[in-house]
Amino acid sequence: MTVSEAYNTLLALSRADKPYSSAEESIISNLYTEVTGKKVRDCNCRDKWRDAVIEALLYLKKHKAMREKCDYKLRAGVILHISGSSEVYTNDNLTNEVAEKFLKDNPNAVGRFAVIPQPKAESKPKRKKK
Amino acid sequence: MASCDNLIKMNIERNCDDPLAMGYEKKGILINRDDIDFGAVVFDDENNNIIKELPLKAGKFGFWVYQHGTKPFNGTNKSVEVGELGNSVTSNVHIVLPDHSPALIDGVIDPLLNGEFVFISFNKHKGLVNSNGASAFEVFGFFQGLSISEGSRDAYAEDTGGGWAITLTESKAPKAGLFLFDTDYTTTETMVNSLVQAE
Repeated sequence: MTVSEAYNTLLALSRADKPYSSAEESIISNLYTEVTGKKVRDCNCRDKWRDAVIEALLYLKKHKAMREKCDYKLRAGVILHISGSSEVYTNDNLTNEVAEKFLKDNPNAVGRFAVIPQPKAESKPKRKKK
Repeated sequence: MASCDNLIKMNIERNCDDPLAMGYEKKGILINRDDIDFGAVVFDDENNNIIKELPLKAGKFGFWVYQHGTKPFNGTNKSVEVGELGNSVTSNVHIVLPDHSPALIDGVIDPLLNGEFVFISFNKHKGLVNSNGASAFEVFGFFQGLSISEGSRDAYAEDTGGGWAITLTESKAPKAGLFLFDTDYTTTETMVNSLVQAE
C-alpha cells in the first residue's frame, strides 16, 4: 500500500462516528503495524482502535513515509547516541543504515544489540554440467 | 586504594530555584533483578549515584506498574540502618495491585513471593532546573535487590479495593539513593521507556 493510500484510508477511518467493525479493526491493526512498526495495544480498551488510527495518521503527517523496517534490535534499556548528532536512537526509530554505521564506528558495541541480522551468504554461480 | 572520606560537600538549604515536589507519578517499572546485565551497567563519571545506562539481558524487559489514587506508591520510603561497621539504607517500595485472579497470582504474586527485583520510580520531583532532570527516575534494589517483606489481601479493604498490598524491601544498601540519568530528562525518559517491551 502506498503512503497516500494508507493516509486516505486512515483519514476515512478517523471520521467514523460509530464503533469500528471487526473488519475495520483488522484494517486498522494491519495499517498501524505497517505505518509505525508497532502492534496495536493488547488491552480491552475500546479507545485503542481510534488511538491507533490517530497515531498512524500523525506519523504519516510528520514523516511522510511508513516506518522503515529495521532488522536490528537494541536491548532493553539501551539507546544509541550517534557522535556528531543530538539524535538518540531506540527501537522505535532505529534504521538498518544507522545501526550498521554505529557498529562500523563502534565494533565493540555488538553487545548493545539484542538482534543483529546475519549477513546474507553470497550465492555461488551454478556450474554448467558438461 | 580509594578512601570513603564521609565529608559533606554542599550547603543544606531549601532549593528555591528548583523546589522539591512530593510524591511519585502513577507509574513505575519493575524488573526481575536477574534480567539486569550488571556487567554492562554504566555509571556517571562524576557522580556514582547516577546510572547512565541500565541494559537488560537480550530478550528481557521490565514491566509497568500502574497505580491509582491521589498518592501512588504511598508507603514507599527510605530509612537509615545503623550498623556495627557502618550504616546503610533500607528502602521500601509499596505497591497496590487492584486485582485478584489466577493470572495475577501466576504472573505477579507468586513470583513476588520469592523473587528479587529492581524498581524504577518516576519521581514527581524531576530536578529540571538545576540538573536537567537528574532527579526524575530513581532506582530501588540495585545493590541488594528488593524482596517481599509484607503482603496481604483483604477482600473488603478500602485502600486496595479488595486487591493486594505488597511491600518490597531492599535492606542494607550502601547508598542512600541511585538515579537513572543520561544527558537530560527527555533522553533519560526515552531510555527508561525502552526498558519495557513496546506494546
